Amino acid sequence: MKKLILLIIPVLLTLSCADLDVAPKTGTTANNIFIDAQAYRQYLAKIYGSLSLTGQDGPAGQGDLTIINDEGFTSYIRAYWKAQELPTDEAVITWNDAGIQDLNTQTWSSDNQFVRVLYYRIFYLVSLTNDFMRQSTEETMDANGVPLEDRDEIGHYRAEARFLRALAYWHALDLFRNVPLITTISGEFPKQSNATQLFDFIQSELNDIEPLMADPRTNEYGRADRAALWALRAKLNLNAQVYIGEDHFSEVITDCNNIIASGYNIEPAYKDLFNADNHNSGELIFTLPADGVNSQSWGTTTFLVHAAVGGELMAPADYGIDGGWEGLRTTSVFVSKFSDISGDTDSRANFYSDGQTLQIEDLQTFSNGYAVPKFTNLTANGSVGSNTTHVDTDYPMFRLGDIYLMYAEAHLRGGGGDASTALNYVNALRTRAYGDASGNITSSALTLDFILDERSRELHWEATRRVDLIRFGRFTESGVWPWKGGEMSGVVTESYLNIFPIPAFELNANPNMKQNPEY
Amino acid sequence: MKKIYWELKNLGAKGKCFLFIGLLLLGESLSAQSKVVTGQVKDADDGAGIPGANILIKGTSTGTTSDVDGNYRLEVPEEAVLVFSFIGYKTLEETVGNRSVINVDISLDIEELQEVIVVGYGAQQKKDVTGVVAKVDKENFNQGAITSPTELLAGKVAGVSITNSGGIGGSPQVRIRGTSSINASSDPLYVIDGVIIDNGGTAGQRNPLNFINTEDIESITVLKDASAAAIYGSRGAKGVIIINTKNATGDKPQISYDGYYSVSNFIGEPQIMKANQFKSLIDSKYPQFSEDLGAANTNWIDEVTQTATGMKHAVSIANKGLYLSLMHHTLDGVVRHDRIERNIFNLNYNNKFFSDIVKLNVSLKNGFTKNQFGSNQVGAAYDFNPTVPVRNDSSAFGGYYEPRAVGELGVQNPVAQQDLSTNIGRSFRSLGKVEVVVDVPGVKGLSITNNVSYDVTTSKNRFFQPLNLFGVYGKGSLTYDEALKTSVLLESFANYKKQIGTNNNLEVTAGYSTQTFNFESTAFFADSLKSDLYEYYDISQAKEIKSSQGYSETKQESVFGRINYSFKDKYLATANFRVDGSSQFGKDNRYAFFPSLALGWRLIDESFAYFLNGPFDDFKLRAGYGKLGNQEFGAYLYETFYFSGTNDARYQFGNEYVTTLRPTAVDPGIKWELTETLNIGLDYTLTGGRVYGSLEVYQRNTDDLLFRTVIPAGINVGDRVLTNVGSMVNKGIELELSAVAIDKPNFKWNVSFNASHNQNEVTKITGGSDQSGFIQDGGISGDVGQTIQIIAVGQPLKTFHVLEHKYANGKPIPDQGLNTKRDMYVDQNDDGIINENDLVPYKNANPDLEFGFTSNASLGDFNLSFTLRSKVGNYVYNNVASSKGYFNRIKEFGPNNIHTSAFETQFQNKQLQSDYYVEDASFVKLDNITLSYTIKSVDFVKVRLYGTAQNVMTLTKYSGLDPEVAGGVDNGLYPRSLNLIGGLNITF
Repeated sequence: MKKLILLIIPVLLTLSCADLDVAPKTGTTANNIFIDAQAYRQYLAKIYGSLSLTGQDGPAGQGDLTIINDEGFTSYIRAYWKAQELPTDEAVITWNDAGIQDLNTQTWSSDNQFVRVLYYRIFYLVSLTNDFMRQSTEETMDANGVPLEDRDEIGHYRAEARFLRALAYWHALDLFRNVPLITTISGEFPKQSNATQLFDFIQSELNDIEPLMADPRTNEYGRADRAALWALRAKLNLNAQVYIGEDHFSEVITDCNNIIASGYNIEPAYKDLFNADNHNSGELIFTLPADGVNSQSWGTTTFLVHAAVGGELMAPADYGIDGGWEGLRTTSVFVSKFSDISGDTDSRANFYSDGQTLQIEDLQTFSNGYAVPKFTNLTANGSVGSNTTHVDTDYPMFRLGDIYLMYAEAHLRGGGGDASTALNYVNALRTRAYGDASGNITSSALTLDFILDERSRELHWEATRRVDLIRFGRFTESGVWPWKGGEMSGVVTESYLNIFPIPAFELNANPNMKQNPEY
Repeated sequence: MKKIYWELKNLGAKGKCFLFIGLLLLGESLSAQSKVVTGQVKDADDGAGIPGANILIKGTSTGTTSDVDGNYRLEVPEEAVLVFSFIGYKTLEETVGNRSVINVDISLDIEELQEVIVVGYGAQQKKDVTGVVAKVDKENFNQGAITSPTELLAGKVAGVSITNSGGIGGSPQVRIRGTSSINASSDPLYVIDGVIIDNGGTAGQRNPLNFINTEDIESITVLKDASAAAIYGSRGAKGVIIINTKNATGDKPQISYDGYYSVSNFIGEPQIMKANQFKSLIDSKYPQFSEDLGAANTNWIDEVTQTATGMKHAVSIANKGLYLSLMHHTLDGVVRHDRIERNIFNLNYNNKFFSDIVKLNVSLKNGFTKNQFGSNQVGAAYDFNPTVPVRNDSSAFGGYYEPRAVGELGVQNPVAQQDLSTNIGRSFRSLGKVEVVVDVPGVKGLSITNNVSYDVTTSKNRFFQPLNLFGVYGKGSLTYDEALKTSVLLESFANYKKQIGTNNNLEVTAGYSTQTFNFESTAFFADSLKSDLYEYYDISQAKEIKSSQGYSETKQESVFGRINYSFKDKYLATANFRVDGSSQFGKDNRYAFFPSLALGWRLIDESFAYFLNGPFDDFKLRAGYGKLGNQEFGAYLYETFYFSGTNDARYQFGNEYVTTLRPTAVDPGIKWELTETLNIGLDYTLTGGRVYGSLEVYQRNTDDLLFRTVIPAGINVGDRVLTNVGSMVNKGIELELSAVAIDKPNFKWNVSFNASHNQNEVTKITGGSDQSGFIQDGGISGDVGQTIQIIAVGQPLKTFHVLEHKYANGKPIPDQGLNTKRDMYVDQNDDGIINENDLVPYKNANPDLEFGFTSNASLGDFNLSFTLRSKVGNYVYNNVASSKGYFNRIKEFGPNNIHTSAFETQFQNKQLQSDYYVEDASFVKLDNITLSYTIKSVDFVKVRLYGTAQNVMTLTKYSGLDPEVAGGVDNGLYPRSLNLIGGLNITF
């Protein structure tokens, strides 16, 4: 019998208490990855990448955002571009994904998934930066043993991360106006801020980091420098009247002058600004690099090139791609900004009209409305990019042409500067467009109305049209183009539509948030 | 124990009639050397005659029944053996010899009445069970070409809803008393021969339970409420399914063979245009596509499906405590190239040593499964131009006709997709257990059980697309996945039984368990190949390779116990508890306590309840309450990690492409889901014991529901965090009723019926103050990122969220002519715009009522059994019609064939959000029907021939192919098939 009891004991001994501390073996925690500049560089690349890429696996897979099911839709620039272009006279889209047609017609609601994803994309960048700042304080770097010789470089990264956060907050201010100002990671419900608070925050951040940013045109390609900062600040100030009811036009002139003095050049051929090798252009101040092999997504320029191609007659190969997505066209109102639509006179009139109708009877039929193959995946000499699905074309965020027009506008709006300089800048762009001085204008023709039209001719499909129309008061209560307000001929809409609604998801998740007026 | 017998006076004319038939049968079997035997069948207990007892001549179907006083008279051959039987009593055999009067006393079959039910770390007599437990024995399993053990249960247990995935060998969706979780798994916990298994799948598997040979299963027990399942604590909230396999019983060796051959055919009528209709529509309305028309007449549905066959051979040998079985099973799917092949080996060994003080139980189950995954191209077959041929000899795409150029969007030849690509998974799963039970000497009633068990799964999946396949033309692709899962479980528990005085029975169980789970995976993906020569066998042939690796380890530690107490068999009490600790949670939330208490009251034994004594033989009330948890989700969810991106998601800085680093968004305070259950039940047996069953009423409240919820933008490094956010309630009522409808020597008929109603409601969602919060659910095809269901406070899960269509002349108003959206849909908020704000909750996918009915009738050597199953009030969104049934579909990267509902609706554009597509999918299904014949002429061997038809009949108003859709969104279902099975069963 004793033997039997002995038999039980060894089995019981195996049942000693389990240790429930199980260390993970895949993935790395903050304190053992942020040990040198290389890791911070990789994290900074993520923050930059969050503007154009959609996740950790290219072109899709492991998406950053999951609030809509299709990862391609979560692209920052794709969502931003749609919000700035589709509600205007410059672009319409064919598709009928839930809510997308409401962007064409200014009939969105707070449940619109494209509005929602834009909002969350902006704040995703903000939170990445906030985490980056937390992981790169001197105390954390001391604790992690980051070498002292790496800290200068990391200081530049911190400045650039803050620049990107300021850029995102400018977008938030412009699109949603009343959003929370969040600078830390915490479980607390953030408080809603007002436009003045946001405006002041962006200004003070930019002023703070201005000396910390690399000198113009000295940083690595793809990374922001001080000229990019000036361009952002100029954009903010140009629209200050809209945001906070104040005139900041003289500051626009100052920043534009600084940029212009930094050695950027107008690209000789307009089309080369939007080509597969546009990284060679001396006109671009800040771009989001794309690469068909190494940097793939379904957003940004891959979207802009593919979605603009379709119909029976357009050949995708003519634009360096393997297929059209039959999405984007333009309205007759934009076409009418050009007296000659062939492009022979003004090379910026780049329409594809074969098989397309000028008028849009059906928003969801690609052949209704002219196509605008402005962005392509062909290099300047006509060869195809590295991949016919994912394009090499870098997204031009800020470029000198825009700065010229901003200077001219700020001058006309009383910001100072010089009238003949302003005229010269405008004519420099027209000379490029016409190939000679035949399209140049005289000083009497340089009016604010002209600037608005010229901005559309020069900067169409570059995600500035909505901002411009609002600044000129033509986005909602005045200004009519096809399908505005949901009517084929277009109707005026109400001014509350000048900003987008706070997404219902955010309102549900954060009890501190109030909806924007009249939504 | 209440004595039960059949009172002939209650039987009336009908019973006498059966008696008469019995005598007639007797007349037929008279033979020359026969004589007459008379006698009386009496109750051994009180000596009263038993009317209606069966007296049968052994080995024949000849016999009689006793009269009102228990007397019988039967003419028998000289050497006959008489078999005396009566329901609820032990069967008795008497050799006639030279006797002419044979009086027998038969006694109550205590074992039958005291059926033992496995309840987790022990067993209980059914009469003492206070929790909600249902047991299904092998005799009552569903029959047919069945792969998964859970399919055996479909329609058999009230409140257990099993929805077949349709595909061969797939995982049926199993829900016990509704869905109790949104984000974590709602699948029940599986316990196989006492081993808690991890039922998560790996690449290459169809269903992780496919390593079980269903022939080996003795019984399946379902623990439905908290008082039954609380002993499984943090894993019991979704209910527990306990599978027990066969052991060798008896002294004689037994060898059994079962084999069948099956044939399956696609059933249903796809709603698409035939080639001639398509051609005339294109010619008249869409001339721009006339040049795309061919001369062929291709039925693409026929082209992508096949008549499928299957077969199974299963052998088992049982002798002296050792049970061995082998099974070989192959089954093709009706989708071409779809196939499953299984080889399973099972061993159970039970023996006793040291004067029976030590019991040893060993079990070992091994299953090799090869899965060939045919590509389900039925969706593409709906779309594809029916006027073009399947093949085109000059085609560069493997000889298959492709209408488009590479890179052009649109549907690809579905047959080419099936034929050219290869997708094969292989897996091996082994589950083993050694258990030592020691009856501690000197302490009567105390036993100690120690067991060690392991569960290992290894699997591989390989997927290859050659260079000439249209979609990857010129590149090819291959994927290679490998996974290894292991778990080791150590358990030790003591059980002590004690009778105190004559009236008090006490049983205490207490134990400790620890379990470790490891998971490793490696995956390679190459999207550019140098050549097709090596298929997936040489990844070095790839030009671009992505790889990933995964590893996780979780540990669980638990203390559990149970106390059963009964007084006079009349008052019963059971208390269960489990304390679980899990490494899946942060330090502050690691341990949790899950208690339960259940009380039973055998009311019929109370003298004041004398009135129950007439109609009932047993009447037991039960009430139980308990808390359960759910922790079925990934490891390390409380910790933020930084993960690197792939090489094609790098970001350019200067001349360098920098690999990005991304943090994960987590809630460090994540904890278990908690379910509280209250159950009130009644077990009843009607007088005579021929009708019995139970009635249950329950409520389950689940709190701290885990959901990957949307968080306020900007507060964490993501848009969602898995956190405890919501609450939900399931309320229901269940009825079970079994009856021995006829019990005659030659004709036995058993029926069982169950009905259940479950009402689900989400009661809380976000942490925010806004109670109107909802979560989008139920992704549909036809549009990227579109959903059709919501999870909203006040609504059941799987509630559809749709626009209310306006109707004219019984049809939805189409988007034709000048009709705007406002003409078509109800503007719910009257803002003049039809958009997301006009979506309303409408119906849901959960049935109001579910029924199951099983009939099993034997007439002589023939047996006929069938299972009927029904759901009422379940709605399905017909996504096949909504995504393919509109005329402009023809033009979308066309020409495309369209769903013929377009001719009914006249929709030009897709109306995905219309409530028109939400259809009542109530149904009645004849799941299976089996006819068998047993040859008894040979003495030492029993041969049974059977034929089964599965999926025989469906009655429904639903317009799609099958009304039974898990989740309620019908898009691209696996084609359903009618299966015909012919089999043979031999037992020595």
